Amino acid sequence: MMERVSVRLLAELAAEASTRSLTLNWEEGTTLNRLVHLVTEASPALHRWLLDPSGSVAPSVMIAVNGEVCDPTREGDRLISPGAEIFLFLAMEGGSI
Amino acid sequence: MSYRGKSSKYVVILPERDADVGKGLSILSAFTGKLLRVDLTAGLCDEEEWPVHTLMPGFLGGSGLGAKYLWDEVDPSVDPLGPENRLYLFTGALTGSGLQSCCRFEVTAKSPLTGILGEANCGGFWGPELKFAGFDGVILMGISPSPVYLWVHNGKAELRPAEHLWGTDTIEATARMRDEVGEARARVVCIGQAGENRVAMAGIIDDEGRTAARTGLGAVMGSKRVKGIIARGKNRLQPEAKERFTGLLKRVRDGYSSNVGVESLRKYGTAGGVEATHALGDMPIKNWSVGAWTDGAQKLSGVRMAETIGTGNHTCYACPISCKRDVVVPAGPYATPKGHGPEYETVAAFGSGLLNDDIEVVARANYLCTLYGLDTISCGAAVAMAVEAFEAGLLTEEQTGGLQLTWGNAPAHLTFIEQIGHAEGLGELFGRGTRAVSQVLGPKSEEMAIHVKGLELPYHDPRAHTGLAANYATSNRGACHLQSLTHQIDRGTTLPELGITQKTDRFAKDGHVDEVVKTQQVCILLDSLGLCRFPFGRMAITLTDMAEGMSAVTGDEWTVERLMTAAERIFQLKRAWNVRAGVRRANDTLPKRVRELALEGGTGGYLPDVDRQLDGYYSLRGWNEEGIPRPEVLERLGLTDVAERLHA
Repeated sequence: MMERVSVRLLAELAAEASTRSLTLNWEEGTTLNRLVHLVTEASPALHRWLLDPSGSVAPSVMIAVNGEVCDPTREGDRLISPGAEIFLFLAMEGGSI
Repeated sequence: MSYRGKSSKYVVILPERDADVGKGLSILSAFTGKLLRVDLTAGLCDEEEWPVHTLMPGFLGGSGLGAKYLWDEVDPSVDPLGPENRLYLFTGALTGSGLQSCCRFEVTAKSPLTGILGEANCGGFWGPELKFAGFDGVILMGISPSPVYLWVHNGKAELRPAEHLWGTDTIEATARMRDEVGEARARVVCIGQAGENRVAMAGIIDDEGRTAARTGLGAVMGSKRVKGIIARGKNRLQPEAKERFTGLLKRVRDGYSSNVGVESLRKYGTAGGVEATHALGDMPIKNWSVGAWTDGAQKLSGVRMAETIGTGNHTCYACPISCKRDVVVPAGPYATPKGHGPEYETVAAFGSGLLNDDIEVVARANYLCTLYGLDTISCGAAVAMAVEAFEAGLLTEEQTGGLQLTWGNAPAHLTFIEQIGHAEGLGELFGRGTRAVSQVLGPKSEEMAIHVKGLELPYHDPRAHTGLAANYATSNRGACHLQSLTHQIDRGTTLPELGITQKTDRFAKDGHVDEVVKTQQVCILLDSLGLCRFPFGRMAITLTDMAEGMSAVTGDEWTVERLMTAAERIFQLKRAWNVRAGVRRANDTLPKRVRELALEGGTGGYLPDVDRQLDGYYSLRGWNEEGIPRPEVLERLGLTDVAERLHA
């Protein structure tokens, strides 16, 4: 049976995707970078928010994995486990000023 | 030419100006070239030309011009609420030019809250309107024998009696001033009861909701018995190089339209980032003592605000972003009329800071601060300190007048805000600021007072963004997140013109002080040109655009390097004034709690080493071990007179 991973979208990402969470298929070797691309495939409305024009993960994308904040531009190769509690958000937007 | 006159009713009518106001200033047509100097003691208004050609290249406008006038005219030893203090309200160099988001003005004076340089910046429409009315700035000096307000319109200025307005809140006062001058579209800055009562954390309210909030300058206005300044004008500024300016407008417009950060602000306001800020450990909780409050953050987010109490949004002059919230709470214990909604800082101040997770409570607290004219950051910090002190037994129920000042007790918090605004009961003490309170309550309360140099910390945590440590410690008005952009750079903003091309490590031990220095100067630029931080922080408008804007508008050639040199000059001048006010390295620090209390959550237990950061920072700044700018640094910037004064 295919394992799944649930991604909670925070703030504007939730509003843009019109949902607060996405459930994705988890595969062996899923990294933070891959996760972001899976999210954009599941919710194309988030493409321009999460990826820069070159297709790389945008610098302001942050992911909290089991409460630990990760930066995919630095730790994009980090593996994630099925069942992890994942929050995806944009660090640069909104109330950052 | 200077005009002068007086009447027994403190009404002065300046002669009609030429129809083509601004003619003769074609070289620097971003400016009217006029300041309105008001001697309140004598009841006189003077129109004076300011030396645009000599002062503007060095100090630009807004914040820079305020610092220059403060240095020249106000001795740092004066009583901040006495007649010798002066209140400068100066528009930015590009304010009103039509360049996107250039709408802001700066207020400068000696601060009654901190005792050092006080300044506050504000957007909206008042700044442009003042220029359209014929003046680049207003200087208030002396003390009026009775309450007055100032009516500035089409090159004229009148001091009008305001006894009947004294005691009114800012929304009522604004409406009545507009009625009295017969100009429904006039723009107003005014104080509420807090400013009248000389509450040290009083701000100046702009058009019923925006605020020149920080450092207590509303109390300075109140001490001068000035209720407000209302402006209306028909002049328009013409850029010197129209085609160049039009090209810039189109380019910037395109940058705005494709920017997701701008779009986010339009949809959800600054509070849109509450959950992200919380996840990073950047949003202080329970007076900076707790690291995570996930459920509360979700309930307080800008998205939730939009879904519940939000009714729309509005904007400032020439700004396509429209980040300002409109909210209403139609009924219930926290009923709030339709009006300006809370910003991120206010959500943290009265939400997470006090463990209130009801956005309606925050909206009500924001509304009260608007009515009374209070800085929500300092007020929230004062309430949080009162709650912590009450829970720790440092305040008794007798002292609070029966108020149960406990975490999450929103009705008590709201009552306490009213007491601060009216300087009543225990509110009178806490309205003096947390530093002053700790001096009364004693050593056990010191760690509850979260301030730098007397200015309460804004709601971004140096334990989550290390560069904030050196910035808060050295910011010229006391702790201020708006006087650097390092937390933005940690999150992805780049400034390629300054060699900042990738985001920084938010836990870097050295505090990336090079970025602190550079972005402190960028913020000086923004406040001197009158440009909002929001489009700049999201890279919709760049330093190169700012230089291009200055070139097109003034007809003189500006580069990023030239702008940055001016900004450094302004920063060092402010520091020099503060040095004369007694600021030294010992004052450049952080509250103990932020230095020593490690938290769980998004900070990962990180603690910034501010002393280590300061060593690097002082070296970059060219300051000696006491934090005094070295003479050669000041002389390089053309501040020879300042060097002589400082090192005499």
